[in-house]
Formats: sequence, structure tokens, C-alpha cells
Amino acid sequence: MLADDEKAEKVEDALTAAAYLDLWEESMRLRCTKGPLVPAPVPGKGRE
Amino acid sequence: MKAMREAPTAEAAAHRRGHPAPLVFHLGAALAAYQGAVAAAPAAGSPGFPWHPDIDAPTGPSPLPHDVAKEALHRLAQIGEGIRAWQQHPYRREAAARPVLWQSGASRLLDFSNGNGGPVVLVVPSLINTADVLDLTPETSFLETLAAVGLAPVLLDWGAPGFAEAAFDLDRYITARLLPAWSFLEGRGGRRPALLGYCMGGTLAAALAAALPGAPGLVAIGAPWAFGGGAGLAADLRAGARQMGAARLGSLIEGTVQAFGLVPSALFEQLFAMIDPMQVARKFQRFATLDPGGSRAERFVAVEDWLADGRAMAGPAAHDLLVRWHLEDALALGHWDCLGRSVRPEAIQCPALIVTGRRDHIAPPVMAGPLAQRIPGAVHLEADLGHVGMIISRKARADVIEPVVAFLSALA
Repeated sequence: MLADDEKAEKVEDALTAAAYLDLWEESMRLRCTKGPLVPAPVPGKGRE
Repeated sequence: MKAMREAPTAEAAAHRRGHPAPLVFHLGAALAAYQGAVAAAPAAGSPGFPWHPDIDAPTGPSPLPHDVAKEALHRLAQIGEGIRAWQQHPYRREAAARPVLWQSGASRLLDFSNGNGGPVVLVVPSLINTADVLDLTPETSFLETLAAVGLAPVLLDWGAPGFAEAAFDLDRYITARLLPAWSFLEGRGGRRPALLGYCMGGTLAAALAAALPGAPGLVAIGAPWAFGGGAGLAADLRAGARQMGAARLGSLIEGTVQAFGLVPSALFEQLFAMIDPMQVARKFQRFATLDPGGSRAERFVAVEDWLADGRAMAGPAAHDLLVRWHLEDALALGHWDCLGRSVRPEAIQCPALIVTGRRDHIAPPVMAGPLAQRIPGAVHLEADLGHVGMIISRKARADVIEPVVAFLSALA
């Protein structure tokens, strides 16, 4: 896993698999601990 | 205490028991999360990708699913490596035997003062895990730190509930264990000791201080009081359980007690696991990268050993915790009685220090903070730490323990 500064650098260049999974894990952690669990619907797409 | 420093072996350490429970849940959560990540990878750089709003959404080309799958497999393997490294680690906690000052049923008062003759502090742990977390390693021992500055900590070790405690609810734990222990120390030392509680031990200590004034001071660390708010999965679980109804949850607890005699620690481990399903996967991945002979690895092993040594809980006590407190929010609403009267923090007359952790997901500030708001004149210390981190992390000494020591020393 990458340190925070490494994460940022990687994201600016290109989204590597490792940086993507770091973001995915962090996004999931935030959804579970802070909410909202379900993403807000995108206007014009899917169920609203 | 003495820590063993030996090289890890290929076999599981003979003294190690348990696993990161529930193991199948932790592994399944990681597998499901990574499967989702692989499936979503092609859209990762797209606008509208459902990152959490706090994530700085990446732009640019998305990673290839094959690369993501490869990295995910590496991480899954790393979880297993971390668990294996923990199970093989030679560290073993060796706690010195402490003088037993008093005993009632399974509960004992253990003297951690080292005979310093200082002001007595009655330390009250949670009923869910053992009290060892307060004296886990020589470097992180909360109790030793209190003793080193001249305070006289005495630990109320609840012990594993036996026949005498099997029918205890939480009020009974206070009236038949905490209060007699407190009174014993008063009789021994000539004055009532200050109360210091951690996790639900802090809640019980605050309830006693509210129901029976006379403590010179109260410290509650990570002690939940209000269960109506919160966010994320934990709040959703509570909301779902409320829809199910208190009677139905109560009957589930009753059925568990009929089957096992007590409520097994596995129930609480499952509930904790659901707060942040990937947490165990992440921490064992990190552990796999640590030097197994280093102090960080040793502290990790000590904490995991403690977590794997959960305590079963008496059925009525579990009913109070899960139904009366969590579902019905009885503490915050003043509907929970202790010593025959409704418990209200406003009745606490002594100086109080309430410590909450901004990263505490067991008793987050929204649950633990109201205690500080409702005790007249209470000092609220918000540390940038998690629930266990407030006791045993490297930052705990400066951010929590030293302020607690200063508060308690000023009472003397």
C-alpha cells in the first residue's frame, strides 16, 4: 500500500492498480464509518 | 511483565489462540470488496464514479481490470501472510501477579499501586474484553503510568462471568460488584476513590457517580452514552434493529443464552466487524510488511491477542447493552435505572474529564460526547485517536494519558 504523498503523486500521473485499490478501500471505509452508505443518484441516470 | 523477543517460527505459537474473529467474515468482506473493485475499474476515471464524497476523485486513464485483479490477489495473499505472521509470532504477554485486595464472585480488585501510598483511583474496564488492555505491555501500560506518577490505581477485573454473575444485568454489576468494590476501597483508605472507566466501564462508572455522589473525580474514556445518532454502518445496523423491535432482539438474546448459558464473545466480534468490514484485512496487510522483531509488530500482536480473548457476557447484561442502551437509547433518555433511580449525568457533582476519540468508531464522539455536555462543568478532551488507540497507541501517552494523569493529580 502507498503512503499518502505517494498516493497523490500516482493519481496525478495515472491511476495505477495499487493507487486505485487504495482509493477504493478508503472510499469503502468512509462509506461504512461515516456514510452515506449508498452513493447519491446521478441526475438523469438510473433510479432517482 | 516481560516480553519475549524471539524469531518467529514456521509453526503457530503454541500459546496463541483464536483468530481474527469472525475470520470468514473478514476474508469474505475483503474478497467481495476486491471483486467489486475489479468490476468497476474500467470506469474509475469517469466523472460520476461513485467515490465517497471525501475522496479526491482521480482523473485520467482507468487501470486495466487485469492489473487491478493482480494487485487484489496480492493484497488477499498479504492478509493471509499477516494472519500467519501473527499466529507464528513468539510474543507472549507475561503479566506480573498483582495483589488481590478484594474479591466477589469472579470479580477482583487488583492493586497496581506498587505500594506508593498515593490517592486511589478505581479503574473500571469494559465487560466485553478483558481488562488486560490497560496493562498490555510494559511500554503501553496505562495502569503502570498512573502508578509511576504517584497515583494508586486499583483495577476492578470483572473476570469471566460465572454462576454468580450469569443472571446479572448492568445495574446488578454496579450494585453487586462496582459499588461494593468502591466502598471497600473507601473503607480501606478513608475516602472514596476517584473513578476512571474505559469503554462501557466508563459508562458504568459515570452511572455510579450519578446515582451515588461522593467520588472525588470521574474520568471516562471512550464511554458511550447516547445511541440515537451516529453514521455509517453502525447507525444503519441500529436503525435496522429498531425496526426489528426490542422484543424480537431480546428474544434472540434470550435464545442465545438458553443455548450457550451466556452471550458468547463471537456476537460482539461480529458486531464490531460490521462497523468497518475491511478494517481487519487492512491491518493484517500492514502487519505483513512489518519487521516481526520490531516493537510495532510486538504491540500489534499484543493487541490482537487481547482482541482474540473476548469475554462472554451475562444474558441480562447483554440485553441491557444491546436493547436498553443501543436500541432504546435508555441512557440518553434517562430511562435507565441504577441503584433504584434514573441515571442522569446532570447529577454528577464531582470534577469530570470525558475523553473521546475522533477516530473512535466503537464509541464515536456523537455517542460519547453527550456525557461531557451533560455533566456540569465537565472537561471534554477530544483526542485524534481510535477506541483502542486512546489506551495503547504511541500517541496515547501525550494525547490521553498525560492529561488524565494531570486531571487526577489535581484532585489529590
